[in-house]
Amino acid sequence: MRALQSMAPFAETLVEPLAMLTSPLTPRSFHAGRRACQALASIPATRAWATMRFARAVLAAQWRSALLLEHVRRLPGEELGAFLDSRIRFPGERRFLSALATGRPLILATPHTVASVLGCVAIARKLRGSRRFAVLYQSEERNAGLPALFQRAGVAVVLLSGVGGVVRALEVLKHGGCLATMPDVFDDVSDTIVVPFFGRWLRIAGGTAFLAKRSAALLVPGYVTTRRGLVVRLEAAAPIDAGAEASGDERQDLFALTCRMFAEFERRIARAPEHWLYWDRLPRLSTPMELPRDAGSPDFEAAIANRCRALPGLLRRVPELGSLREEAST
Amino acid sequence: MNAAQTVRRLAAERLEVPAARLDAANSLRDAGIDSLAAIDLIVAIEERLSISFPECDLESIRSFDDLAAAVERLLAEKHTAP
Repeated sequence: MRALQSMAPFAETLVEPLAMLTSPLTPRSFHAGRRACQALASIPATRAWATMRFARAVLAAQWRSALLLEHVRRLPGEELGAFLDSRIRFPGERRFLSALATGRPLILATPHTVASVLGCVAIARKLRGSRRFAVLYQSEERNAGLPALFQRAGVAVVLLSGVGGVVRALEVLKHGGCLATMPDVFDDVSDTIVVPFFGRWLRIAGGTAFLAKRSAALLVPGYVTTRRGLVVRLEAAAPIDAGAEASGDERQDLFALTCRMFAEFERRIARAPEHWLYWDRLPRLSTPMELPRDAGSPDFEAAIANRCRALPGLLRRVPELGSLREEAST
Repeated sequence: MNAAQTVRRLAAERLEVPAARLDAANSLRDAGIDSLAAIDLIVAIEERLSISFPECDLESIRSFDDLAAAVERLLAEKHTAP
């Protein structure tokens, strides 16, 4: 075990060379970077990033983060806290602590990256029991190992998932607690909000904005990445005051809050795009904002059909679009 | 008022529609209750009746009948608790 732990810093130096060596030989289905590039190339706003260099950077980022996560999981409890405290860089920490000092409920929302969970551990350590801290994450099966990690890091965290998790998360927030969540890219098409993201309309769940609005929380968009030297970088943007969005129409407020959160995600992902895990889902779950100008052209009908596929809620609201979609498919 | 009536009345309050309009619908979705409105309704029921739904129960609730059955069970447990 000790030998494995001491190897992590050395293994980390091999991440880039290995990504370079293996990239040309790895089929696309096994190569996260090449899959991401395929998606990037189909989106005008990101097309320029779709290079082999980027594909390698994706592999390196994922391997480095996975290596770091594994290293942290194997560290003895007594060393874990000191290791995390020495390896976590937290730009925006002062802003985050100021937000905490207000005593208001707080939500840290980050896009999915391999290192996101380490960001949650870091935040839990900052709170050090001063507030109840919950993580609204994936299902319990996919949370394997997380409870043990938080426990060994010496932090008390409530892990939540699903509809029941949202109800309990609201309870935590209403009692002045903190919540970490990852609201980006949502597969369930039944209830979604559609927001601008990298020049496209992306469907995502409105739960985070709902929780923020209902608890009048401060919503802090963040982004968690890794750097050379087994370093975790947790960025925290300026808090969005959910209580200040008060148009009188709650659904409009949820839309406005979600737009602001995703605009911040977009800015941060654009600076380190190799860390975001869901590039390959983006084309399927979003649709171009611009439609072809000629409403009679086959391109226009195909664009409408594509939009209806990506944003099924459209058909519920405007059923007439269904006939256009059928025409396009015939 | 039984659990089924309480659930429908609270739903009508949250949706700001007459309770009678919800009588025909059993599915929450058919009644115009999406996932966020369902969470809102569950929170209202918990606060009004001083009960707490177990997380796992909430995943399977799709209709007013499901919700009323869960409420009845929780109220029964509450009343028999020492």
